[in-house]
Formats: sequence, C-alpha cells, structure tokens
Amino acid sequence: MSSALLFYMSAVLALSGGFIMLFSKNTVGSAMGLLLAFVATAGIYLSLSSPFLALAQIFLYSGAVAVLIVFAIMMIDEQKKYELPVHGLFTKSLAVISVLYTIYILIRIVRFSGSSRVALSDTSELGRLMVSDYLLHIEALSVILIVSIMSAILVAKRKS
Amino acid sequence: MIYQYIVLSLILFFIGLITVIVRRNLIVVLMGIEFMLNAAGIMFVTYSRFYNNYSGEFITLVIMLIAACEMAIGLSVVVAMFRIFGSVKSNDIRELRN
Repeated sequence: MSSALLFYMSAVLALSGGFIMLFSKNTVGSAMGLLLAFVATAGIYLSLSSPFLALAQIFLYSGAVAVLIVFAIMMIDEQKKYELPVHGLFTKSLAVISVLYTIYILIRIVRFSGSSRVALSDTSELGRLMVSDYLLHIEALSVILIVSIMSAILVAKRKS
Repeated sequence: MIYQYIVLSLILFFIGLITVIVRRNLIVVLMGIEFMLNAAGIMFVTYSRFYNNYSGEFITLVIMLIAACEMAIGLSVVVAMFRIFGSVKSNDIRELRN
C-alpha cells in the first residue's frame, strides 16, 4: 500500500474515531472511538515514515492511556451496564475494518521499508539527541513521571 | 502533501476542543484533552519529517509522556470526585453555588 493511500485511510479512521468519541452517549463507546483515533494516528506516523514514533504511539497511547481510561470507567461504575454499542451495520463494519487496520499497522511497523515522499526517520539520530542536546529535558521528564505517579496514588487513595 | 497533514491535524484538534466544550462527562472531557495533544503531535511530526529536523519527533515523545502523566493525575482526581459527589457530570458539582 502506498503511503498516500495509507494516509487517506488513516485520516478517515482518525476522523471517524473522533466523531464517535464526540457523539457517543456511552462512555465506553467514546473510549473505543479514542482508541481507534490513536491507532489511526500511528498509521499517520507510518505514512510520514517514522516507525519508532508509530510504535511508541501504540505502546503509550493505545496500550497505556486507553487502558487507563477503560479502567477508570469500570471503577467509577456510574451507568451500571457496559455493553459496546455495536448495533447498526455501519458500526459493525467499522469495528471489523478497525481490527483489520490495526493488524495491518502492526505488520507494517515490523516490516517497515520506508516511504516515497519524505526521508526515512533515523531512530539512532533521535536517540543521540536524547543524550546530548535534550539531556536536561529527559531528566526533567523522569522527575515529572515520579511526581505524577506519587500524586495520583495519593489523590485516589481511599481515606480510612 | 504537507497541507493535507496540517488540515487533518487542525480538524482533529477542533474535534477535541468541541468535545472539551460540549460534553459534560468529565472522563470524556479528559479524552478530548488527549485528542488535542494527539493532534498537536501529528503537526510536530509533519514538520519534523518534511524539514528533516529531529526536534519535532523528540517533542512528540515528550507530549506522549506528559499525556500519560496528565491522564494518571486527571483520572485519579475524577475517581476521588466520584467518591465525594457520587457523579462525574460537571454540572452536578455545584458545592460553591449556595
């Protein structure tokens, strides 16, 4: 699949995920739309020929953030029923297309061979920047991670 | 081709902004914030790849980490708020009104 076709398909899926997030009455449906948009963003990064960011997008956003949101929805337990709103033909076909698209994106990340339009992103150059020019940023980010984890535990702890 | 990426990023950003403004459920509001950060990341990577400068990709990685931290703190605040008020709708929380 050429990178222009990959871009258009990812753009359509990201926009439909965004509209699902915006218009779904069910909170779990909103979370699934957000997850679809995250995976589609990984496809957009692939069409920009930077496979490392696509992998980080799937790990960090789809793996961490979306799962965290679904956990919080289940903990809050407000609406007492969590069926996925997969009823109409459009939603069902969109779900099947999303699953196939995700598998395609994962295969494409593993067997990446570059795009035609822009130069292939050099991951070693990105890593070299992290330990030379942006070393202070990385250290600050580690402190922010520690502080945010500790504060999240402290805020959400049950007062007994 | 760069214009299509920029237009897509702007549309995604405004979908997130409308979600933050319109929806009342606080979890969905947090999702809208994540969506806006995601759109900003697309814009950074677009300029980074088309001008072959790696700072944009680094900033996108920073955005991902900050989004994870923000999500952890925001969701813990929402869970604590649900324990106190019994609801996560933003118009049910009106303790300061009277």
